[in-house]
Amino acid sequence: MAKKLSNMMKRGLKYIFMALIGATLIYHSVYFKSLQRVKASVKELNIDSYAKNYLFKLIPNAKSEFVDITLLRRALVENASQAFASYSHAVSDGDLRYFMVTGAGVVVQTDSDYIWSRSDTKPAVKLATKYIYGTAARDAAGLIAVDSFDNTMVFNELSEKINELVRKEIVPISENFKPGDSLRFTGALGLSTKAPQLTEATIIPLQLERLEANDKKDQDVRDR
Amino acid sequence: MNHLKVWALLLLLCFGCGGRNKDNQKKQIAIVVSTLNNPWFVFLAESAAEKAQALGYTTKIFDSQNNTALETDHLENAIAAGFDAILFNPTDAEGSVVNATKAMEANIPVFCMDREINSRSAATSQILSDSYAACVQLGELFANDLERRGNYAEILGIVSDNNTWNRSKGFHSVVDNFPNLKMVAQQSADFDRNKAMEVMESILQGHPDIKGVFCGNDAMAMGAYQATVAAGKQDQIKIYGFDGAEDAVHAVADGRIQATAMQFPKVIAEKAAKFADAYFKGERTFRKKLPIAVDVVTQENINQYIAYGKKTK
Repeated sequence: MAKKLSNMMKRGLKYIFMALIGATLIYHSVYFKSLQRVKASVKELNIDSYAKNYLFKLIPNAKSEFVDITLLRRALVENASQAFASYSHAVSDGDLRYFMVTGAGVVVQTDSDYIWSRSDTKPAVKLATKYIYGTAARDAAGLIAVDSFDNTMVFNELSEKINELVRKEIVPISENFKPGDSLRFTGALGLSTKAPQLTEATIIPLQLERLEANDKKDQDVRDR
Repeated sequence: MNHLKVWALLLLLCFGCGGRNKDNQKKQIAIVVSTLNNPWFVFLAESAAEKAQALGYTTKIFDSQNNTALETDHLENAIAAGFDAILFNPTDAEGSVVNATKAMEANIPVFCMDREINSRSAATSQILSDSYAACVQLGELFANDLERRGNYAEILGIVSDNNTWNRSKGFHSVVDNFPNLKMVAQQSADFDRNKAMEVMESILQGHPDIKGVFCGNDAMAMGAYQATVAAGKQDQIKIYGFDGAEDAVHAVADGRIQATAMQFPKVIAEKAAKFADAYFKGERTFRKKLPIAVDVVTQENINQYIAYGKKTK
């Protein structure tokens, strides 16, 4: 009887150990994650409202922090590397960096793709009115960090959404501009640190407005 | 009772095998790479190992063969073997999140190289090529080279990899502005040279008039080139790649392909190894996503580049 009991105990212990081993193996071979956590991780950012908020709220409110194009032109001539350090932004560490600039001038030429605007005798700047692409509009202000996004596809989708809004909401403002009109703009441009040629750069307009006579006088004073 | 001892020993082994190596031992870094079937990733892995060793660590390279399940095994083995950091080139932007998370939960820092995972918390830092911005530039070049008109094809990489779509979307953000440029075929060849050759052969049968093909990496560009040569259309079709791999750099130099985008695998790998070193020394603040700029390489500037990087002066 005692021997039978001892055998039963041994068998019982054996089964307990086997169950423990099995449970350990199963635990380590399956990955559990709470559904709430999964749902939270895939919660999608509303790209439309993010882009609208950036273009129509953040940019107008941060305008005073952007560099005037005349000042940038001078800074690039005097000390280009200092100008890049002071005024440019970029998401990646490379030669191409972006500036958010403000400026005003008189329209000297228009075509289906661009408006050329000149302030006094300074070289004209080229504002894009058709081909709005790339990441300048998103990156130039330095207000959106890639670190805030779970993946770069969404970050790049945001760039495309901002460009789309510029095409739909900003570019149409330029449709009636003709040579001689005065305008004011806030825009993004990219320059290479190796060859910072402002005259060849295209500015993506993020804000565009026609200047009335009084506004122009004020701008002339600022330019001087 | 002997049976009991054996079971107890097994149990001890189960729990004991995950122990970390001691502080007085050299720290170990696991380098888990999506595939070693592509020279670009071999260079990435070897550059990471070389830098980590130069910093005083032992390294081991694991090849996931573009298989997320195999990658899971590698990560689990690395955790169990007590590796101190993982330099990780994931196979799948979504599928690899779980694998990286396991390592992070085991307090092993994970530094992603080149390929991205869709999470900010599943890796200590992700050092990535800025594929989108580079493909905007490639798109501009492509549109200008084709004079903004004509039919073209696109060969995509692995569809579950973010690089595939960042490259494709950057390219399309430009070329889609030109209504006379028409994409007549878009197919995946999984970043594989042989598959790209087959895909291109089939595209050429259906669309013999295409003027250009945009490929998501250099291996596929070279495969596409082989197919155009076999069809006798190498002078008609302009080919664009991405990576800056050795054969593609030579092909750009002699005009077989129009352009590639130079990623800098050595920069990415060395940065990842340096981050691991900084982590061991107590640093805990890292950029979650760190894009590295990519240069467009054409015949005009090819003299500034060698395979996988810039010429040093």
